[in-house]
Amino acid sequence: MEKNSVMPLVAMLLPWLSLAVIIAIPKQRRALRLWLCVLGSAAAFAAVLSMAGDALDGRVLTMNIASVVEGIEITLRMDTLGYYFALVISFIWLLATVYSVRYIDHKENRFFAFFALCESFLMGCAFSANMFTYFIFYEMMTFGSYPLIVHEETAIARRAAYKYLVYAICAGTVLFFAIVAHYFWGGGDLSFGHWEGVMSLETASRAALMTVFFTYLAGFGVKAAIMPLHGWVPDAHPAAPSPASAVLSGVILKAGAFGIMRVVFNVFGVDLLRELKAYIPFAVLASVTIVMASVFALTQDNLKRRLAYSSIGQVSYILLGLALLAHDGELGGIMHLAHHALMKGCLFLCAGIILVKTGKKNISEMKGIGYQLPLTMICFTICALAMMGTPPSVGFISKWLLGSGALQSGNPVYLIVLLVSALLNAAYFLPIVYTAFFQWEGEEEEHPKLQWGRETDLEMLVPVVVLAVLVLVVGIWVKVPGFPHSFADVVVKLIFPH
Amino acid sequence: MSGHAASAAAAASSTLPPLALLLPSLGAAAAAWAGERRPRVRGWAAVLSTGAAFGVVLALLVRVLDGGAVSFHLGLLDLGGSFLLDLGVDAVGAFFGLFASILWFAASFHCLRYLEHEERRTRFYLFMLLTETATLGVFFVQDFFSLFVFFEAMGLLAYMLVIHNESEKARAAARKYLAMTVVGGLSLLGGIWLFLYYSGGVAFSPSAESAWTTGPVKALALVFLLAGFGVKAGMVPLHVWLPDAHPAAPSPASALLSGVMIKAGAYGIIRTALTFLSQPASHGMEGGGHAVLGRGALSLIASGHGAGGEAAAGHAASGMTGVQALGFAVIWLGIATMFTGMLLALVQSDVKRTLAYSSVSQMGYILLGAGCLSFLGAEGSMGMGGFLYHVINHAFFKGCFFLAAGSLLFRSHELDMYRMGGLWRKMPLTCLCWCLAALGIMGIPLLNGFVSKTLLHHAVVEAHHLAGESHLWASGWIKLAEILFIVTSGGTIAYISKMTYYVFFARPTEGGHHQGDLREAPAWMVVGTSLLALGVLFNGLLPGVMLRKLVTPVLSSVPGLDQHGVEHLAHMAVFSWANLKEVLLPLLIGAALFTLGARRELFRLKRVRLDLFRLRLPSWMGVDWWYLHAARASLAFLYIGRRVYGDAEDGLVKTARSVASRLVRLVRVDMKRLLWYRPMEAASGLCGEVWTALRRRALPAVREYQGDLAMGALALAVALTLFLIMRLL
Repeated sequence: MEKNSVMPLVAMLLPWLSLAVIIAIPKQRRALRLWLCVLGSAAAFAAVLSMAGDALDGRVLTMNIASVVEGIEITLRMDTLGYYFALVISFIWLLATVYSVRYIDHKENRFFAFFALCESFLMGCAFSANMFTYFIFYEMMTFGSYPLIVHEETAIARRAAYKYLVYAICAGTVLFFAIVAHYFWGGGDLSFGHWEGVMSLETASRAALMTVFFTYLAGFGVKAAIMPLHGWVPDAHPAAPSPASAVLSGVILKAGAFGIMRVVFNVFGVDLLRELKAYIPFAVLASVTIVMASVFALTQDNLKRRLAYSSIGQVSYILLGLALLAHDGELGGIMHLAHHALMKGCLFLCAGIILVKTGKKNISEMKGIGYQLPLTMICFTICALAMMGTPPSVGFISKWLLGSGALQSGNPVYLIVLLVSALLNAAYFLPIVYTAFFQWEGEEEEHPKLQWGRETDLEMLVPVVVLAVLVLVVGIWVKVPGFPHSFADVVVKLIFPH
Repeated sequence: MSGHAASAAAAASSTLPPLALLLPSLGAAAAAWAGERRPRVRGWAAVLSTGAAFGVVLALLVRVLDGGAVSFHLGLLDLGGSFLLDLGVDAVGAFFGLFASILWFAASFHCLRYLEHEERRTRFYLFMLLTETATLGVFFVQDFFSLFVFFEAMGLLAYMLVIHNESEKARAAARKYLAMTVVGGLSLLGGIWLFLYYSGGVAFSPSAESAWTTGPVKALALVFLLAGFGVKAGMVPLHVWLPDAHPAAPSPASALLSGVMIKAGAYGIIRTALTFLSQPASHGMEGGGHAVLGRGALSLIASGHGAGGEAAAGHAASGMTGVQALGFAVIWLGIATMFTGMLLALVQSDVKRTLAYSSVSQMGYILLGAGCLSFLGAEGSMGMGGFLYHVINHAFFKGCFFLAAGSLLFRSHELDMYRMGGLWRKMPLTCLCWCLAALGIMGIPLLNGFVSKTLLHHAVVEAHHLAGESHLWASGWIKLAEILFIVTSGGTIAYISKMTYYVFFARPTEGGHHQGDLREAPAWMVVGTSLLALGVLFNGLLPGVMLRKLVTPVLSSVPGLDQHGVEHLAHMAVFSWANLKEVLLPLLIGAALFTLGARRELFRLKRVRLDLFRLRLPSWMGVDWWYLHAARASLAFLYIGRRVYGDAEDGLVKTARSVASRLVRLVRVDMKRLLWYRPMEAASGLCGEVWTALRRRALPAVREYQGDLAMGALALAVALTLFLIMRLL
């Protein structure tokens, strides 16, 4: 089922088209240049789409780029899990790029260039064949996303970006040690090709394996915002421009979670983790993050900050799903990666429209914006309800699968985490919707009218609407090929072959 | 048992259920499209779509009663396994769907004129019709997964009906409603998950293979399910949203909320009970415990198998089975609900608020029926019959009440009953409908309430007999429940007479509404109201028809009910003297209470100033006060946790930072000094010393003996070379 193909490399390199466009086309022709950038990310999306058949059938495409020393190679390899992540990346990126055309109003060159670079590096992460390759692209992506966060160049943005960098570099160091230990104790095999894992109690002691696992968790946990390591997230999201926050929360946080997925599935394997009982502290960490992040979110008045805390909790849904080590848990965890990207992407893009059109950042100022921006806020409402896990939506699918996974793993305790988190989600999302639609400035008697049709530019509105519609459609027609379930199902069958 | 097998095997496919769901949604789309520009199209779109839905549901009911359950494969939300949104209608579901669609039909007539004095009419139509789709969906599914989907949708869509006015009151009510809906929904989800955990599936009729166990998880699942459905059903102590939300909504919506939506909660509870009853009977047979009870095999559920025959028999003799315990709990929840609702209805002054508390109270009756069903098990057809009959009765009379209240508000702009009076001259038709509903809810013979209350009373008595026969400790408690049942029926008569008296027949008060321009409500509103009043009359005059054509066919389709009991119910003599004389005691109690409240001057005791009809209780005596404070307290805990966590994190960061900076200083300054400067200094000093010494002492000597030194060095080199050669070879 493995064959050589350059397609992963092509998909990874297509975003560089945008870079070429920015260099080649003169500054005066802004519209042409930016739309050609969009074309670059559309091409990348198309290239990813062209591989869909292979991914759905479980075929693997590989391409060796360079061999550093024996056993340490830079190799691209598209398996179904990687493809799934690449699909999420390229789709969210396409929409965010379209959105940015209107949103970004200064230093477009820098923004679009690094935006495209980040996409390319993330695709590299998704298509990595081994931990070494993953590490390289992961670090490149870290540095590539720095200019996106610092974009506004205000004091706040600088500080947030600095904080991000400090966190990310420390995490990179830890990760490096984790990989060295993995190489040392894993028999020199860093590749992602084994679904039963490469580590075993025969080659290393229990303590060594636990050390490797938790070093990995600490290294990836900074991007995945596991709770004591989350400090950069609530600062970086409000500081970055909205399309950058959308991809930051929708995709870049997931790069950490994706790394943990690789560690759980391909490095350790589900059986070994069960034997080591490493999943217990892992699940507890995820649970604490889920609940505490929601508690933190409750009192944030800055909309994007509240959304950022929500993201911290939601990424841990993925981790909780992984930690359950049960069929439905893994399925739900993998699917939530895409589900959350859809929901949170939409929410951040909505926050961006609110900021651009009304200049409002704080929820307490947003009285009546539902009437000023009806379509935006309807999309916001759909996603907010979906985040609570209201059916029929993607959020409900994730929640149900995680709950079912908790039951399969014989730990109904985690149901409490899911229910409390849903309650807290309601407690911090519904007031936003209420403020937008049921409060307004001015006289109590003068009920505002919905102002359809002139709320904002199409370039910004279309991505928001597409995401909100997908939140519903993917949540209703779950099993359509190409939707998250189809890929997650293939992956879960690899993990649990019986 | 044959019924069970048939219903499991049959389930022919039919397009009627999806059609019934689709029609109101189409109406919603049409109403939204027509909007404010074509108000007549909008109104009639609602009437036509709800009317068509009513027709379809009626056809569906006929079909289901004839040929067994039908299903339709939707295949949405397909998560693998049994987690799938599919439609399936059995007789119970079709029965609920029927009265729901009647009520929507009547309400949409009422809307034609009533909405004139509301704002945002299009929004109201949109959400009213979408809510019908969701509500019918709740009744038209066959597993808890699908039920949850529709239940949540219904709860959230109805939020828009509650908040419709956007007055301060409506907002507060909607806030409370939403909080309770969200909490109830999560409780329901938790219950469904736990149900899934121990039964291995989510279907209403679990397969025989599924692993049924007993224990705390099952009890917990029951508690969660009961709480989740109980919130919607207005079950005490979860009823707090109801008396605020129903009056806050526009009257047609109140009629729907009270007439149908809270029944969805009752429906959930009866579904839960039936699910537990429909458990494979073979286990019970193997357990051998059914002989001890001398009742149908189905009444011993939870402990019937697994533990082996003896243990099961011993358990059944000494205590209640799991389902019986559920039944006993629901009986008492029902009694608490009806009694509390009645007491609070007695002291209200707002018409719609009284009606809302009355809804709470009547839900108690309905819960009582469900409780008797699960307590009696296979013999519970009386309880289930009373349940079904009262569900449809309450839908009719409470819908009628709320629509009539809407008419009153429409003409008089007043809802305080003490400021009304004498309206029967001005609005005779509305008054007539009102009085029919009032007599119905009081349980006066020849009107509908009498029939269902008689059935429910029989059910409680049967439960008492059963408990007595099997020497359960619950026996005395059920006797007490029966007494409270009668007292509550008396109280119901009192508060309904009070309301009817003050609104229609009392002398008009000074400073009340403008009497001059008062006249009968618009024709379409009267049509809607009288449609429901006719239902009240029909159900009361022809109970035999209702029982034989509708209620018992539904019952006989329920798996596990004893068919003799159903037959008995079908041919029951409702208007027998034994039944009629049961009305006397409540009537007496009601009359006494009414006199106590309305004719206070007769009871002017010294220093006792009891004004029954205007009693105000301190706020801490209400449950919602406790909820609010519990919520605040738990939130405070969370905040404290967060604060501690935040402080700890701050402290951690500070400590880490200072440790790091010390480390850095150590490396930069101290370590450098220690490891680099000092050795370098020492080394360079040493080198200097050596160099000076060499220059001063050694160089002159070297110059002096340079020839000898050279010879010596040469000799040494030769010796070394020789040694190396020898060594290597």
